[in-house]
Amino acid sequence: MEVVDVNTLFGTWPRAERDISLKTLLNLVNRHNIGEICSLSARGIFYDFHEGNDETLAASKDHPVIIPVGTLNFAAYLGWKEEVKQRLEEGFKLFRFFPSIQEWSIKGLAFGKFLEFIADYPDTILLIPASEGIGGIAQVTKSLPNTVIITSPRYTNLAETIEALHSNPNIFIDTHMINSPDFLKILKDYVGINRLLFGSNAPLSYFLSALLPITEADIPDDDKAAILGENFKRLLEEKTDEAN
Amino acid sequence: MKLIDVHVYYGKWGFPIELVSIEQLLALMKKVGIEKAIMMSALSLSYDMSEGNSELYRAIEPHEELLGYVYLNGNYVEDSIKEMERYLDSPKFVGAKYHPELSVLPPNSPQCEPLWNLLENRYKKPVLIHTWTLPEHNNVLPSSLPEFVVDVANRHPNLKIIMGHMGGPGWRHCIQVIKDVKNILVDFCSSYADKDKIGHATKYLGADRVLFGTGMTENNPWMQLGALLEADITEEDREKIMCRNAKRIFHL
Repeated sequence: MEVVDVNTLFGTWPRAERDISLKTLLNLVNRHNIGEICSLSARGIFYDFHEGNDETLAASKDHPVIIPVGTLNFAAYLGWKEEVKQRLEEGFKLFRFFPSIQEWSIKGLAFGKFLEFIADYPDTILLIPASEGIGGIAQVTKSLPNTVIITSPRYTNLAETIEALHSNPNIFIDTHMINSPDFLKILKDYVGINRLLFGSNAPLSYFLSALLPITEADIPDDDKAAILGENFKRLLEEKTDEAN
Repeated sequence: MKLIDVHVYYGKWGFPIELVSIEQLLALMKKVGIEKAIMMSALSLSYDMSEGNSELYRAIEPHEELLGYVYLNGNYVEDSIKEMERYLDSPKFVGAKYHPELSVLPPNSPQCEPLWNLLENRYKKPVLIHTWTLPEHNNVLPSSLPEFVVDVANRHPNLKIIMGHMGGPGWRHCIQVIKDVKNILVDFCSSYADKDKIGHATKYLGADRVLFGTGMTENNPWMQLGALLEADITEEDREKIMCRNAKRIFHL
């Protein structure tokens, strides 16, 4: 089964002593035989999104295993539109957001402007953290044609997650923090496997903590393969087809 | 692989889950490789201490691989003492459990003192205390801070205290706070699989003070096992965490 990890990052982590260097991330990729990773530089989270996106692009050119993920900071705000246009031209398909670290809200006006803008590029995919509130994410992205991946939902908001997935066919989730013992069976029964994507939060989190709950779950191998990579690949292909 | 899981719940939860029966739990334990599970009652934690302890006893009694913690609630000290009398002389109950956040009562509150005295001097069994570094369950103030547990541990040096969840998201702070308090151990289960946390605990506390807990059935055991298997520690330390420490602490 080829693994595609939709939730990784690299760089420096200023808020604790953590080794999230690109080298560490790539070592993980090799050790666990990961097919592709969606990744971005933490410089874009903590310091400057333009510089961070440059770093991400450079890393993806050097290491084709990396699918580049852009980011924007709507507290810093200035130049966001030009940045998006530039990154779209460079081939970025995914944009990921870190509102709580940067102290802004997805319900804010600036992010609203971004959503209006990005709706004209429906082949792009947005990654928004569950900590913004599952209901709130579903609400603000309701009329958006783009795919939205909610990162890091937990079992404590599994009910809201199920309803968000029901309410909007464009919403997908990553699985690494759901963490209840039968969450895959519940999600399969109530939503379907095709909306689940594998993400690990590596190298901030233990990769195996995300992988084993999928590989060892009591679901058929076909379902595991779908979550671990096929769902995301299909999503990217569909988006590419739409764009063409 | 032989594992002893020191942090297992029995009962129902307020989120979507269908894995609630003892039979389902036993099947999962077998698949993961958990040889013994030390369990507490979710019913006790969230609603009725006595009813939950009784239900837990009935559930674990027929199964050699299941052991129990008697749940204590500092808001009901006299009743908690009765619960200890009822269960702690039994070899099936190898310790006690206290949840400060769900009791909304820090463990170093004066009214909890009789409980710790009895555990330390009469029953000589460990207590698993939930720890977290933030208020939970919509509480205004935190009741589960590691500092509160350190206070108890310093006043009861012969009481073995296991800090459940190792402080949760604040595990780094937790380890710092308990470093020199030798009668405190930790288990590391939580939804935060932060890389390095097991290595960090092993480095600063020593592997002898780290226990394997999964948080089943609230949590997924594979998540914690994945963390332990990936942790950058020696194989000898890994084995201590997997089972040897629990055997020593609980006399298994």
